[in-house]
Amino acid sequence: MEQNSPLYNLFVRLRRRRFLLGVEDYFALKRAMRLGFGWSSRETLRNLCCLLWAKSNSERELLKSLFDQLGLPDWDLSRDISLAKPTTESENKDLSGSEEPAQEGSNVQGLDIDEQVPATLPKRGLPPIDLEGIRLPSKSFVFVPHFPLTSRDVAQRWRYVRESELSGPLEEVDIKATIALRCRQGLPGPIVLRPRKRKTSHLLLLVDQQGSMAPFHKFVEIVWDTIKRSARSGDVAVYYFHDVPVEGADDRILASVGGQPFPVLDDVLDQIAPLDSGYVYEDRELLSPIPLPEVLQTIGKGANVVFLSDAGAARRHYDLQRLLDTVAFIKVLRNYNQRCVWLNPLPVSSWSGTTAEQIARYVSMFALDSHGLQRATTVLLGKRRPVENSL
Amino acid sequence: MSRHEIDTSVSLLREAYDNLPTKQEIDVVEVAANGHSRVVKQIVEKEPYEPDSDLVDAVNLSIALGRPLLLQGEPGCGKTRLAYAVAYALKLPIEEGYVKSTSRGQDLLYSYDAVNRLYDVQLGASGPRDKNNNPRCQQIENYIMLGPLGRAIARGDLRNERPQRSVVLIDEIDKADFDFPNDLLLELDRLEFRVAEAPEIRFKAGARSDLRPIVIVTHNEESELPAAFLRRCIFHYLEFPASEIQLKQILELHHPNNEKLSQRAIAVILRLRELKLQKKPGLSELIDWVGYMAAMNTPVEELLTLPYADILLKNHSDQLAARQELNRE
Repeated sequence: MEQNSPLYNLFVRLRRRRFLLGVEDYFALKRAMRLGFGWSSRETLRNLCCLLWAKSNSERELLKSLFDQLGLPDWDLSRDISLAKPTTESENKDLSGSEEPAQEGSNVQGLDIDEQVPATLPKRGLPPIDLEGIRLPSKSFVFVPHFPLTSRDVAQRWRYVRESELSGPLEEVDIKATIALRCRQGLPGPIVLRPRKRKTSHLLLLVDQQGSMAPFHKFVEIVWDTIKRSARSGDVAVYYFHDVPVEGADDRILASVGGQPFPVLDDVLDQIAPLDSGYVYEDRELLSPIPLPEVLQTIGKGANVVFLSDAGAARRHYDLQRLLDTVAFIKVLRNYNQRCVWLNPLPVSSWSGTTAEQIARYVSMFALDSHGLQRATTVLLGKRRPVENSL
Repeated sequence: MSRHEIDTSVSLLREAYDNLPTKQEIDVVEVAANGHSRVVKQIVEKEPYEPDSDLVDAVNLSIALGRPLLLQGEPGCGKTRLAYAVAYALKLPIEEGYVKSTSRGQDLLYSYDAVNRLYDVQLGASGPRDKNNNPRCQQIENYIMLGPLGRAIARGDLRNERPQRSVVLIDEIDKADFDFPNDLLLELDRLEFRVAEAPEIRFKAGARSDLRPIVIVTHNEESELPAAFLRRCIFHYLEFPASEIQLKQILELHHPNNEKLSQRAIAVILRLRELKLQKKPGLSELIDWVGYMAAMNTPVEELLTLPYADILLKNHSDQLAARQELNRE
């Protein structure tokens, strides 16, 4: 029975699209309909579903188009709305003013649901909803991007990446300090106050743009945008770069490793000098450059650094120069004593044989999915995850 | 998530709201942390409000199912004002919880003034005394202040001589920390709380469905809310009124007898909203704009020069773009 109900079908489809819905929510809709909501027209039924099942504007739009796909016939009882909702009769009494307020009176109304149920059914009946003759239009699609992570997933995982910081006006009693003061003075002195604890996360997000990252722009944007919005303004800075933020590391040292088919940097690692003379960009079009040292000085001090980049894995490239430049830049970050993670939109299986595989030996690199994000947050919180060589 | 008893004792009616007087006296039950309550009379003014039928449905559904109503929408489209209108229509007291970036969930329930109590203890016998001439500092409830949600829950407690329902507004919930909504899950669900510093102080409003506070939460989309919290809410998105007629009705409510001015202003604002602006003028800006022009007796013909544009557009480049568009005629 239930399987055939169009609303149940809608419910199942929404769940498949990762709406936050449980059985309770389906019953909530049925209860609401039993109370008389959503009967007067197709539109109101659709709105009722939106009220109960959608939790954001984009979800609402999606629900609306999926609802339209159900192909329910149109009906309009708005002229008979007072019949469809008998609660209105009791309401007029409450609102007309002469009566006492409802909360004052006893709980006569509203408690005994069973008694109300027959009354809430529309008296003239509904037009029959015959689903047999209905064919879904063959060319109607709802295209919604399905990313490995939704904005909600990111917000949920990322909320742990915060540290307590005392800031703002003095509001709370600092019990320890107060006791310490009294012990020192030997008599009741003033109470020591401290500001409230706030959670902050100072973060520098470096986002690889264009080129091989172009297919991931939308996906990556969800990630950095959510991270940015979940923090207080000013705590998170987003800058863009292309391939590598710095270029021009001294490649003469590569001469000694150049002869191998897959040269690695192991032998010359110590000789690579930290390099920060590059530019990152304020805008996604990479038009307004800012010198990297400037960014690191102002934002980077004490902040964590997160890279969002495929590190060459998308094109399945192995680029020694890119590896060298990246290592030189990471050495700079180590000097600033920052924790640093690399989020790669490509899965781990695609890294092998590319620059990404080599970079992952020096920085904690994770695939940009739910599990990877969770592990990245633990690294940012200070849990060491051994990399082969932390430079 | 517990399922609540259904409550159909009250609901909002659009037509009935229009007919309400512009002022009314309501009884408000005031409850203190020690459980004492008294009834005070309060005169409240009517909130000019023109909800569309979807919004009315949303409010009624949230009352019936006992779930908080989560309102989203452009700034200035009347999210906050709705709570006042609902309170006025149902003759209920309103409790306002304005969320700040430092707010914690507990602030909405109660706050404990430990600092003053400590000072009072230090004063000893010469410290302040209560009605029975006992030192105030002996009783912890003298230092516990109920917050907006706490007051609403205490007001609906059956131990009161006259329990009363309230409307609770939690404004701009996304301004607070991500954990803020999560910390309130239990209290919003069961509508009861206990003071951690004095466990004997506790209140419960969920006992009778018609005393359940009506909770309205507004959200500016600045950040994502936790899933557990979202699941418990009824969600409604307030759109900018789609039709001219609706806008006209709204303006008529706020500034009656200005038909000509309103009509032109609506035409201008609808055109401006089609432009690609950084911040589109919203409803509250329109109402302010028309109100000011009416007060200044601005001639209707001047509207195309966009007088007092600072009310409408909060950005210099937006103002330039708007002027350019209006001058094209």
